Amino acid sequence: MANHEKNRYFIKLLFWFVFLSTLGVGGGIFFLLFAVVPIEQYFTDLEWSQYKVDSIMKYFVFGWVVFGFFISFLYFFLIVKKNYWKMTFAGVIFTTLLLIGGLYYFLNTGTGIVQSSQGEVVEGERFTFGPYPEGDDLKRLHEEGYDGIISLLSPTLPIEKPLLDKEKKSAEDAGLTVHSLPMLPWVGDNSVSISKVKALIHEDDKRYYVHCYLGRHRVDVVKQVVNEELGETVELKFLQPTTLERGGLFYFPDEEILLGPYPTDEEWFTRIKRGKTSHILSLLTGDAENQWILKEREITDDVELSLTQMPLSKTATVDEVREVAAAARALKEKVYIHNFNDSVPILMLQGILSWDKTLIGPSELSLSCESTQWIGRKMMVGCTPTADDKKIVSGYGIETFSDVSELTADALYKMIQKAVNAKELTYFMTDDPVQQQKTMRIAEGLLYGSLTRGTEFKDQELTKGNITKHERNMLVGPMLTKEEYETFAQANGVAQLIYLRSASTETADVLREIENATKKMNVSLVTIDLLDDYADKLLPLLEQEQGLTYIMTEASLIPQVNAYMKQY
Amino acid sequence: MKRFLILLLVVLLALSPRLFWSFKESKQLTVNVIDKTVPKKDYREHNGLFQVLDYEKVIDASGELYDIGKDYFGFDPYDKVPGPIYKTEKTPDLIYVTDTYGVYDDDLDDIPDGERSTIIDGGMTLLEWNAIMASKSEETTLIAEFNSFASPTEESVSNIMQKNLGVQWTGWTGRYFPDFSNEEVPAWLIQEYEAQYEKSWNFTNEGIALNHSSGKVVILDHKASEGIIEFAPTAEGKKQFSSMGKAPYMYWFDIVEPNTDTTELARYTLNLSEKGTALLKDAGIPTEFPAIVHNANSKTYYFAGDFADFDKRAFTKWQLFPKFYQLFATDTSEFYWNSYFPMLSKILNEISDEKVE
Repeated sequence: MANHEKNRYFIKLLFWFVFLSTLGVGGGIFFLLFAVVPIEQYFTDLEWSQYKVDSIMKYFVFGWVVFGFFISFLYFFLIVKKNYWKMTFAGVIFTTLLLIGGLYYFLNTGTGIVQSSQGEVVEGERFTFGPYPEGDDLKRLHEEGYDGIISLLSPTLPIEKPLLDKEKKSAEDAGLTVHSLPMLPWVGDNSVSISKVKALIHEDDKRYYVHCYLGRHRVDVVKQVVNEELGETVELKFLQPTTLERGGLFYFPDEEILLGPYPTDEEWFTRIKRGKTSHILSLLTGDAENQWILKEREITDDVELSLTQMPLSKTATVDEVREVAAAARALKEKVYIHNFNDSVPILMLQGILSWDKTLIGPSELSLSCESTQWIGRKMMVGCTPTADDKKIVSGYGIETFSDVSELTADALYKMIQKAVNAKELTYFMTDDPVQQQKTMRIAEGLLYGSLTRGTEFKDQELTKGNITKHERNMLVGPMLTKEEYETFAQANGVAQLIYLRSASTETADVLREIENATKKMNVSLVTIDLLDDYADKLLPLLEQEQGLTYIMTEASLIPQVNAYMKQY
Repeated sequence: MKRFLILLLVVLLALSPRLFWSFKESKQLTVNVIDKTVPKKDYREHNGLFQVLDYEKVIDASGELYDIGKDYFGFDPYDKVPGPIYKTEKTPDLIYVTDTYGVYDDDLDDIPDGERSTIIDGGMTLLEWNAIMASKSEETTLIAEFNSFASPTEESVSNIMQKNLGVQWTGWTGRYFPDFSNEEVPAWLIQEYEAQYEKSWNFTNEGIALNHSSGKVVILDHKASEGIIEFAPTAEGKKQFSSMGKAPYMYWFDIVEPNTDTTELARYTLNLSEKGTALLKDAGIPTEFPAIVHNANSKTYYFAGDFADFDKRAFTKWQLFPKFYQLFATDTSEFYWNSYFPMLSKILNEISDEKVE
């Protein structure tokens, strides 16, 4: 009799256990699909942090366990223990049906209920993340070039084991390898699997599809590991240099045309190809340059650049120069036009492309007063010409004659600036050699920055610090004193002054002083706050060919700005 | 019925601090927090601050309480990537730089070994600091604490930050260790000590370690000090924060000198033996130095310690609970509940009051 009672008690316990386990798993599946996932989505939509969401979701998981036990104890004490056998059986049948229904939905990942809970597929370069893939998905992944599957399903969970087995078989049929790296969502230590993921990231460069069941929770852990291990994407920093070893380089970003000399072996890649140039238009002429023509063919083949040859000599006519400019414009892709190291044809082309006109003729020009000096192929400076001299000079293309003999530095700057803005091929005349030199420097600065690779700025010191030459037309240096707006900025033909303002070190008063000084001197000023996006504002200003740019900032920040500019 | 009413009363009484907090008037403040040292999901470097924000019921422009896992600029421990750069649409009422030391490879391991490793994100750049200063209006309060401008921030940027915060860093940082022989002592500190003194690390018991940016190390063991760094408000500090008490400070700090236009609101004192005093004198380290430096004109505070670094979660949405915590707090909690919590509460209330005016 005692044994009978004992057996009866164990049968009752067995009913309780079956009720608890079937309710826990079956109900748990529906709880996950209908409560946990939508609630988590709701919290995410509220833009809560993942930390806050995770903190709360733990309570849901814990709550379900407590709820399961609570209901099962009610079942045990109020029904089973009181020998309500019909209700006892009904309870177990109900939870068993719940388990079967849950498993049905769980194992059939294509059903609407499951699909509505699945996360989106997030495609990366090597790793794509998403939900459990069916057989057809695996075939498609193989066709798309994936090498393997990283499955985060846990075979220790009875409901995930059959899915994993099915996946392994389907993957084998599809020709994919399955790496099983079991993980548990929200709870549990996944460090072993994470280590294996790290190893897979580094041991090869294969493409993987990473999934858990819904593609929402466990895959996020792997996403973090991939981000961490592969690091940030490398951003290409490039500012077109304006000085090459064999001469100056001119860039017209709006038309995607570059002009310059024959690059050195290194420059072909670091200055031309890296600048995303697609086409080379070679102006090399004659037998003397044959070896360079042959070498160029080899190089352009190697670095996959298209090559067109249009020989152009220094005695070229305006029409010949225009023909080259038209050919470059017709290419509709970034083109580098070059000869060997003769700057004359390049400066003529520069004139045509920027002003639609250029000075022509041989560089040696002797007038009855004295010889003149050329400023590129746009302006000249020299002695006061006679009427006959003027005719000769006009034949070279000069449109305007301006007397600069009696002008102050400020007036000289403003006159040349006016001629530059009007795009006038101008002859500046004065018999004073000192005034001629001043005029040369201002005009060269306003037109090109420097035609001697910026050597004139080397070791130049200002009151608040030294100047650093980055390009023939770009200097970085300290804040100017009141006097230096004239003695440095105007005297060197600074066409554009960029003030990099540091909010942590400078006040609004400083800005006002600079604005007043530049307005008075007619020097163009752009103020850029030294914030995270300053390069986005600065680089377009530097890309344009618009004469000498002086970037000024507080002396203590110059090393940082120099270091920043050197990145490009 | 009577039993039910008694039960209801008890429940209501038990829940009354929570209800009281719920009905408490909220303070709408724009608070921008910068914390680059978030390797783990405990957010400990700014947890202390967010608990005060919760208690004072500080809400953002959308009426939500600040979210410790989201409302800061810095490293994201979930995606293991640096968070968004500092950017603000509204002029902030408070900018709080809790830590810029950063996250290193080693920190991401489950059990970091304390060796120096490759930096993933850290240090303040000039551009970030400019963005912070550009967003600061005359009414904005700026608080920064150790480590905001020390390693790995570049010296030039560090100097600018110090100037803006009204302090000059001596290069010395330090920390109290409850046990010099346990794993909390970083490996790099032991290595630097052993290289400098050419003897092995045999310290046991509690003590204070001081480390200079040049690499020099000074160890105040139990024979050299009582192991206590005492944090105490100055007379000016007591005037401004009457409820801020003194307490032992038991974590990282730095030694700074205040600029002339600032006020010292609290100081640290090292209780030393003769041996300890001599050791510090040789190294040129003072035995007393500022803990809180305030510039009333520019509305800046510099906390020379890791004040907001607090690794315990507390019931801060329960009114008066901080008072209970104050009564029972020991060790690191004592400073947090007796000194930091009341001081920051007062600052937040002042900011809120000024905003209302």
